[in-house]
Amino acid sequence: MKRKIMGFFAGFLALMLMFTFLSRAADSMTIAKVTVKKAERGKIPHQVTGSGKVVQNREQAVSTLAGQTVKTIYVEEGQQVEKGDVLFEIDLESLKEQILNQKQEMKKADLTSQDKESDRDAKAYKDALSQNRAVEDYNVAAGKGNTSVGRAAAELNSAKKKLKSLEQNEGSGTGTDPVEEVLKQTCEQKQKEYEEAVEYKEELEEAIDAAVQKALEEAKSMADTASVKSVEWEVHMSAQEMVSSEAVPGTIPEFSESSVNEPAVPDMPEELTFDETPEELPVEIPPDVPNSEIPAESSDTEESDKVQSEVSAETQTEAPEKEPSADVNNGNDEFIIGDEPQVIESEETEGTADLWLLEQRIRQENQTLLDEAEEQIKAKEQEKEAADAALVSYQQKKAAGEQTSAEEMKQQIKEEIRVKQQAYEDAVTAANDSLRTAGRAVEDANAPQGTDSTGEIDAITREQEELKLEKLERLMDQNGKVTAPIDAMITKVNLITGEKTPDGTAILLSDTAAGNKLVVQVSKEQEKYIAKGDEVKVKTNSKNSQTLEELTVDTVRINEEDKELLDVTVQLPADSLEAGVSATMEATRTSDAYECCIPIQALYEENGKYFVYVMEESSSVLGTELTARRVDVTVLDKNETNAALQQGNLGSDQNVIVSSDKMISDGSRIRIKEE
Amino acid sequence: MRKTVQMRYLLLIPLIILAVICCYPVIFLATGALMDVGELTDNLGPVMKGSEGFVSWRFMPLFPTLQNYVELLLDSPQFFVMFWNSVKLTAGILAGQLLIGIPAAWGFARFEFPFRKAVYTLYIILMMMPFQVRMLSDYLILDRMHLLDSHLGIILPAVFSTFPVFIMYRFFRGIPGAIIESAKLDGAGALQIFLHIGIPLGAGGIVSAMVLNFLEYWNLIEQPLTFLKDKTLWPLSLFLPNIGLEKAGIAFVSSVVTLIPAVFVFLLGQDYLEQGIAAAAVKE
Repeated sequence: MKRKIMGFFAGFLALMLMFTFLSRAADSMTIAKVTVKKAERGKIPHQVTGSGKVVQNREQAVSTLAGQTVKTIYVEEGQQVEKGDVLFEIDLESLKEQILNQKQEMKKADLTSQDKESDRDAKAYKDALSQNRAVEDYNVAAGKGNTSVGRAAAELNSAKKKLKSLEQNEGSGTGTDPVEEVLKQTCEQKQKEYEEAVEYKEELEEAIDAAVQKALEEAKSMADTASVKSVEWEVHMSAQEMVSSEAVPGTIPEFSESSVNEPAVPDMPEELTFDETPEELPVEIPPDVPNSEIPAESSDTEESDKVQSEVSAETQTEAPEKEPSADVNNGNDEFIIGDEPQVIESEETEGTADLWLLEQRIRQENQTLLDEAEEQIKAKEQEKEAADAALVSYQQKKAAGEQTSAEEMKQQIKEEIRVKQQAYEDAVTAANDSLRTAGRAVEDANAPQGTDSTGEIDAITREQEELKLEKLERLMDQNGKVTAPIDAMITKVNLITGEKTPDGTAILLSDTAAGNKLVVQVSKEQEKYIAKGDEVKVKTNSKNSQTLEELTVDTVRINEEDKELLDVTVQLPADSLEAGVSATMEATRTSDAYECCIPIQALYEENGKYFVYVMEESSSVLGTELTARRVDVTVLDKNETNAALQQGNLGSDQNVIVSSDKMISDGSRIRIKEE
Repeated sequence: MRKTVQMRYLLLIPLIILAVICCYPVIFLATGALMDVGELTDNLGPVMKGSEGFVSWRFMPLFPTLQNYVELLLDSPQFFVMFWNSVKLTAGILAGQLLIGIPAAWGFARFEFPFRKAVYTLYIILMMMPFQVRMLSDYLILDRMHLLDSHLGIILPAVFSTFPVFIMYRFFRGIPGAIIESAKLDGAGALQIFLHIGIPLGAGGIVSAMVLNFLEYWNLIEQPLTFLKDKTLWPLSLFLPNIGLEKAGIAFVSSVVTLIPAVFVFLLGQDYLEQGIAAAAVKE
């Protein structure tokens, strides 16, 4: 029994011995094996390297007209060409076709633009015409108003006179029959009026003939004049002066009833006034035209100004010579007739066949006046007959002994006066209305119109077309061959045989004379280690690599596509590397000496703080052990291999753990790896 | 007859209860060694971390695991360093005590010399003194002898411990004088009598002294803690104070492993142990 126990005890101890070994072995496997190094004095060299391509300093683009068919391309990318070498050739057949097309197109455009020109002229003529007509209508309206108002006034006066003479005859008590006297007077008056009307019509016809004649003559003479416009301009200028001297207000003249009792004014009254018991009535209306605000720039308004001023000028000068009632119409007619040719002459200079049309038009326009005169004559005739009939019936009645009392007659005449008064007022109102309407028509005709630049635009288009044709023809002259403008290397060919030429660059050339440069991209973090003027080495990446030393950095710029990169440019010596070759640039900048430098692998970073692990000895149950202790440090500078730390962080005899085969942390047990 | 048997069984019940209470710490250790860290933290949290509530314990681990054993036996080389330190110290001390204590006890028991009684009384007084009383003087002497921070500094004072002399003295005194007389008559010298008569007849006392001292020195704490600065020299008894809650499982396992040699030694010297304790209890 005791032996057994002894055996077990011995077994237990053996087991413990075994576990001792096992645990030691396991422990040694978990301990990180590290290499250590003491911090040392040193410099931190910063090497900036980057790969890039050699590009030419200057490029030149060769382009031709877009849309040409490429017949042959003689060059390929990377090829050297000399000035004058043919680069590519354009298909001549299609070129010829294009030239023809271009010419035809230009011809078409010319025709279209001519058509447009004549359209524009016609429109301008029509505009001027409508302005003229509006002015004419206005004047006619004014004339008509004058006439009808004058006539109504005259009738009213005569009725009043009749009443007066009746009363006088009654008062005087002469044996004559006052009624019969009055009727006789009436008959005489009517007769006189009829004659006047007939006379007026004849005068009108004469005037129209004269106007037609004058217009035709002037049209003929003006057809020879070279510059119609300049004449018009002068006329216009003088007309403007006249307008300003007359100082006609820009309002439509009003026939006012309050001024009727004033004596008829032979020259221009500002307003016509009208009274309840008018003695004498104004019979003339100023034939001026509403001078609305018209911009002087517009050529259309110029003409209307001219027309308008002539209207007033002419009526003013002729008015005093003639009878008031007829004068207005006459004056207007004369103006219309006299003025017409001037308007026409500027427009209708072409073709004598138009003369007949001109005459017709003038006649047609005045036909209404003639018609009116005709109607007037008829009306007067009827009135005259009615008056004669009244006299005859009175005489018959008198003979038959049916005495019409003087009182009755008076009553009749008063009734007549009342009617005439009414008619006079109506005439004034109607004249005012028609005058206002005509005035508005003139305003509408004078309304300004938008600018029209189609002519100029056509001219510009034509210039462009001419330029294109010129280019096509030049290409044709060169037999469709496009040559190199300089000694260069072909960098890019944007053409495909048989396809159309592109809109932009056809072939890109690099100027051989301008030399090449190397452009490499480096990370933006390295910005502080490379600058303009730094010395660099350039090595080609090809198989038999070539190294160029003592080159300098030309520019350092931020890459346009990627803001995290820098473009470093190095000018290459002439004839050193060809464009398109890829090469590596290497620049080294060494810092000042630092007291405390460690390999970069020894540096750890956590939350933006740098630290290192240093080796420390500590005693434990297992004896003196090596452990890692974390030491926070301040990094002064670092590159890909080394870091410089601030002095004081580390003692000069402290071993910094540089590498470890396992993850270590503060307090980790470590063993130094034997090399 | 039947009644007496029944009485016996009735008496067993309180005895079993008492036995369980006595064995409780061991059971506690054995189950704790099989619990994982989470369960131990839940159970011991109130004591070791100061969280709310009381320590709870269950006899069957919810998630039994041998991980703690693996960790201690395979991942803790420190434990074995301490284990073998303990073995070395205990073995050294016991060997020294055999060499020094047995002759000393034989001398006291079998030889008459001046001041024998006085010296023996001094021995007993020294035996009664706790370590704390002698600590400073021990330290100063060891320092002068350059024995601090070495295992000899622990072993040598223990070798001259008075306790085993006291135990063995009793046994040697119990050897009948007639036997020694007859040996003398047969021509045996003093050394022969000691080796051939004294040691075999006093073997029970020697073994019981050894067993008692093994248990004492296996669990030695104060002396190593005071005299050993070098951790590599520490015995196993200092392993546990270094372990926190997160390693409670290892603490349980290490306790179990520490217990094992003591159990073996106890089983080996069980018979003599009782005699030894009885001997120590009887004073002259």
